[in-house]
Amino acid sequence: MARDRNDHTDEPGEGGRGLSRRGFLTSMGTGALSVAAATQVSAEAVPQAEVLAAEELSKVKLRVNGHDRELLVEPRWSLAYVLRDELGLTGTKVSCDRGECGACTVLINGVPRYACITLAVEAEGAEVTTVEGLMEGEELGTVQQAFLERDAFQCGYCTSGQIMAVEGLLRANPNPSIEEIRRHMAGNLCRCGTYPHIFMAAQRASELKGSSGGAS
Amino acid sequence: MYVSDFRYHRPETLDEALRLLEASPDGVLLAGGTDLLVDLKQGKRSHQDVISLTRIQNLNAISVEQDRLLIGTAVTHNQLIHSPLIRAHCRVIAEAAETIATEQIRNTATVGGNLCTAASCADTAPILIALGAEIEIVSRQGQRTLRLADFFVDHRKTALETGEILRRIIVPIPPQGTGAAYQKFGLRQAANIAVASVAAMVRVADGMCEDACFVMGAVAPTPRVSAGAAGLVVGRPISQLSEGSPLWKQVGRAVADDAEPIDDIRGSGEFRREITATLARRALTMALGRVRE
Repeated sequence: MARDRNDHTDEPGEGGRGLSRRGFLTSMGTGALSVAAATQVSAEAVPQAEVLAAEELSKVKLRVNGHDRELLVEPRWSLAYVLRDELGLTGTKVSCDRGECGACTVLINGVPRYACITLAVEAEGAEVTTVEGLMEGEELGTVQQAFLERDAFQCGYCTSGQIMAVEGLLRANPNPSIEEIRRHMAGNLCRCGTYPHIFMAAQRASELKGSSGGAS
Repeated sequence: MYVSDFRYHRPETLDEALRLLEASPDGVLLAGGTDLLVDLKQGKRSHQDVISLTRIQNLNAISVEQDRLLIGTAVTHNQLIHSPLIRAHCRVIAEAAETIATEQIRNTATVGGNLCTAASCADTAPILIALGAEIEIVSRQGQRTLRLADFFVDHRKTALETGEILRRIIVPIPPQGTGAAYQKFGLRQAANIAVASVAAMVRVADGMCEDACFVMGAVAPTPRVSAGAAGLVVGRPISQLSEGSPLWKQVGRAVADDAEPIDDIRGSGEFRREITATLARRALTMALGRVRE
């Protein structure tokens, strides 16, 4: 489950030595950077753009699966890293880590994007949806259910990314053709080769969403 | 994967961004980040200052001003694809954007980023050049406008100087009688990088070709205009350009002759040249088929 906060300095360091290595480095670094920042401000008497220092944890607000989260992140952290390692949302997977395989697909403001090549700080102010966010209480969400019904995975590693890509597709296009599905899903690789079943699951999810939408 | 440390700046205005860019010795702009972050992750480059464009107003806007289409630098490929203005005035730009990468990348990567990365295989470049696009470049010293055709200097090198930002792309709305098409050959149907590509634009009046432009991608260090091909068709009746005609064949050959392809993992230079000729002919036929006088 997601942690309530990610305050590193409160956590025991590696091997339980009290102050963590990162916390130590951070406190060392702060002084030097403050001096640098002060010099900059006096040199240029103009309003400064928001700046997050390197090697330091800065507070950012993310909205993940409908919940506002205030987190401490470094600018260089990817959204995938923050979701998994800071928020404990390990449904989002990292595989290629370079924006090609699709395992890390999440929705940002409702559209599928690769979380491994999105900086967490860039997602500030956006609505982030992960596979955990598709659950309806303890029940599987529609797309998850469709993947189960159509046996649309083998090893399962790429599955959450596949599910998020289908979710993104159906939000934009509730009744996609098989060609539209194939085209939209091209950014998600499956090493086990379960593509035919993934496409069937996308069609099934479209049916399920259509019937539940019609009933309400 | 380890990413080297950087300061992250999030300016709210273009002025602030320009000031930051000037103040930093190695500042880099972050738009979609689909090229930059991969490079940072792989250690191909590192920067002390990363300047995000996400909060700057209007950089991701598409608008029409008189007879020109204005495309902000931070417009994503999917914005191009779904924009009613692009679809109404210059659908072929959306078609080219559709051939890029994957849905996730098209939701993230920007047209300005695609141009500034300046890969010779960039999919938005050939068609924008063929349509006579210009780019507006700003710096703290002022602003300048450049033909996109003159922007690409070498492989991954542009005419952008230190401290400059490409603000927007200006595309003249094609007048009546214009047809344009983009043809790309890749090794697979999805997420493919062009082995060769050709964009063609023709302008026809009273059955005569008044203007034409052929631009090839991935077969030279930069996207490249074929001067030879345009010279063959301008001033000729389009009846002589029908599929399979001697002139039509010659046009393909002329474009291929202006190519300077390399051998690489995606294909040999010789293969690329042949493909270029075929793509040019197809693009010409398609462009002519789209002319509405």
